[in-house]
Amino acid sequence: MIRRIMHVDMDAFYASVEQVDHPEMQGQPVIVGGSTRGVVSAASYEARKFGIHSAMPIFQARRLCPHGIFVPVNMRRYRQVSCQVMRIIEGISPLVEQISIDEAYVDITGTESLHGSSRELAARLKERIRAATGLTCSIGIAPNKFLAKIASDLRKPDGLFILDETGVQRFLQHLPVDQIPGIGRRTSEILKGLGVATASDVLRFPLSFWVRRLGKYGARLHEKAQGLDFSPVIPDSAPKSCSAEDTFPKDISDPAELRKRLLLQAESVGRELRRDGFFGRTVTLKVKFADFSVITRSRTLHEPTHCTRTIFEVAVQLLDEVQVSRKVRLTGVAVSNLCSGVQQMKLFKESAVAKQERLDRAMDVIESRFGREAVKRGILWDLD
Amino acid sequence: MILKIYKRNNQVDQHPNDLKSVAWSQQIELTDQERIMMKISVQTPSLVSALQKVQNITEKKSNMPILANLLLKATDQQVVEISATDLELSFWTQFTAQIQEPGSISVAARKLLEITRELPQEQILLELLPNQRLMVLAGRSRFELATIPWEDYPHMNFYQEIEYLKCDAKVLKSALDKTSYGIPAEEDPFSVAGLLWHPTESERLRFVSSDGHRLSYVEIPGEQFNKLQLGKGVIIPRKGVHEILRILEKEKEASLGIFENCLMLKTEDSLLSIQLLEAEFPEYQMIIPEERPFAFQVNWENLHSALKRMAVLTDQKWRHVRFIIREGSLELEAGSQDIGVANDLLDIDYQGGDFTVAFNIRYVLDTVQAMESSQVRFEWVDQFHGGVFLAPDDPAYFSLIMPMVV
Repeated sequence: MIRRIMHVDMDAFYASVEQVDHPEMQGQPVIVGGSTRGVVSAASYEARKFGIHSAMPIFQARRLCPHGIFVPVNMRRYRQVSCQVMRIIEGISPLVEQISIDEAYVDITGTESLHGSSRELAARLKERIRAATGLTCSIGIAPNKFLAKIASDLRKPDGLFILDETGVQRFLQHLPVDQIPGIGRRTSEILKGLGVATASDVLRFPLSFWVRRLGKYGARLHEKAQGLDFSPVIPDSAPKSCSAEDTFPKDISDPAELRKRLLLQAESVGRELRRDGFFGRTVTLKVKFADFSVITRSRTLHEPTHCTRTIFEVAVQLLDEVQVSRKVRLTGVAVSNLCSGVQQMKLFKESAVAKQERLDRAMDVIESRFGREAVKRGILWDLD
Repeated sequence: MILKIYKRNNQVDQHPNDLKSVAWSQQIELTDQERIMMKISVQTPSLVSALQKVQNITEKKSNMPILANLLLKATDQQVVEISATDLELSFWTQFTAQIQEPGSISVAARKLLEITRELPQEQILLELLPNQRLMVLAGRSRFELATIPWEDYPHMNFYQEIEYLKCDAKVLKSALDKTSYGIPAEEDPFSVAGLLWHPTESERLRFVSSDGHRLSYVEIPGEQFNKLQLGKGVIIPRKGVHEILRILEKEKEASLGIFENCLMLKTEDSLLSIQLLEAEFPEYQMIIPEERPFAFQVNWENLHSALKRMAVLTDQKWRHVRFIIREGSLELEAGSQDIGVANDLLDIDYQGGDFTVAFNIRYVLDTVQAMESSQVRFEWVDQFHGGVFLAPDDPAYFSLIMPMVV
């Protein structure tokens, strides 16, 4: 059966949300990113004209566009808007796979009699999202996920590109090979060296050649070059992990200072887990040093947890085992191996654990009513 | 028991002509004046059976390679002794054989079993060669196994001479069967990876297991065992419990002894030595609710088969079964949106308010399966306290399971 897969991608999502929330930013170059250091999380289309793109260091963005409006990341707000958008998308098909905060695949196979043609459906969806949030999105519709994703990128912003089964061959003949998702710089160079410029060029070499050259990815590339991708749209995939990380304003070498940062991150992770009703068994610590080298360390616990204190203590243990002797640029704490819902009660409960649970609950309630700044743990009192 | 040293000053051996080893061993120049020798002829079934008994003790994944080995000792009393240890459990067994030269050597337990199992011959010749390889010879098959000197094998304590008390293997096995499932594989702050065995105030003996989520115990009459030096109680490690069970499977009678920190189990031809756990078993009596105002009884067979049906729709993530208790009926419910749901209804003798509680279905099944009773009695306080499962026909059995919060 020929599938119809839609890829919906919000345009410059974070920056656009800021522009909608702050009308004075309309038409201005808006750059959303970390504090003094850190990187650009999103840039409005006006800012992109100056050559600013996401993942670029903020200082570089400032140099390129000194008069740009730089705003900090307001994840809570973006998540709120994202939920709104996803609810609207889920209105057209139960088969929605959200792949990031601002992107989703929708399987719209066989919805013509319900929603009309793909073009009508896409136009209506864009209109609904605009009406509810003031935001624009770009939509690609194609016979599979990989082509739909490429298609949504072609007419950005506020674009729509529909690729029919019959047009796939011609489309691939003109598709630059490095637009195939998954092709990084290294693969791209290999391909260039072989004189492979478009997707169709890949087919000049047999499957065995690609497998030999690129391993498992070679086989996938060969498949994609024929316009094939059988991966299904998997709806409502539960989150796999919950994490927080920060690039510090200044590199840190003081262990006490690092602990404070870890506590903040553990708080953030714990808060999010508790809010969404998850428990996790694996705690991961990520440390990026001043020289940009990165290490990660994990530990799996006996019992799943969402307790700030427990997450923090494991993260500190992991940090102690790393024996940091260099300056640290970034740390991150993540909890994975998540489960939710049903929890086994214990026969013996350590009073200290019960106390921490009560503390978490109390802090969550206070923060939800009076904001993050209303209550702080003692050791964080002098942290900005 | 003390292992004796067998070192002999041997002349170059002449192998009996009926053995095919002659050609090989004569090629070896023997210059050592002092050699450790061992040469035995064994019945294959006796050797295989002895080797099978020690396999569970030897460690396959230890960072001490020698723990994958066993110790083979040929005495001059025409007896072969095989022993092994994982440093916590040690096992010793013996069988008769034709000993031509006594001696001792340590060799890979698994390999020796695998080889002897594959040999069709009734007789096997084992010989320690001057190059310190253990030759296994049968018919035209020949193996030479790497060895480790017996002196390097870890020390084992087999206290033969202590006081042993005969016990009814059936009683002991049944007590272990009814509690061993609750021993956790790993230790954590609130559970001990072993079975607590302690005397009660009423001079009975109680076996207790708990993994921090559930607790079960069973009592046996004291008279058989009350001479054992249990003190306030001993904790038998999980592997030890399973090893005792394995041995009792085949024996009608066994004797127990305790010496220092070792529990010994003796049978006709074997000795098992278990290093007791030196851990603090949680104060479990405190968490058993004394007052349990609500209760019902249900037919064992009906509950058991209904639980097995419910279990079909549980998985790693959705492992709970809900007890929905109403006047005269117990409704069981399991499953989830992901897999589907299951319901079953049982008649019970209950007059009282509605009550709903959920348990890990594995825990309930373990408990129900451990009971020897035509009825199951369930007693409870509220959804924050553990539910108590009792066997009216088997009053020595007690099980407490903490609920799941759904």
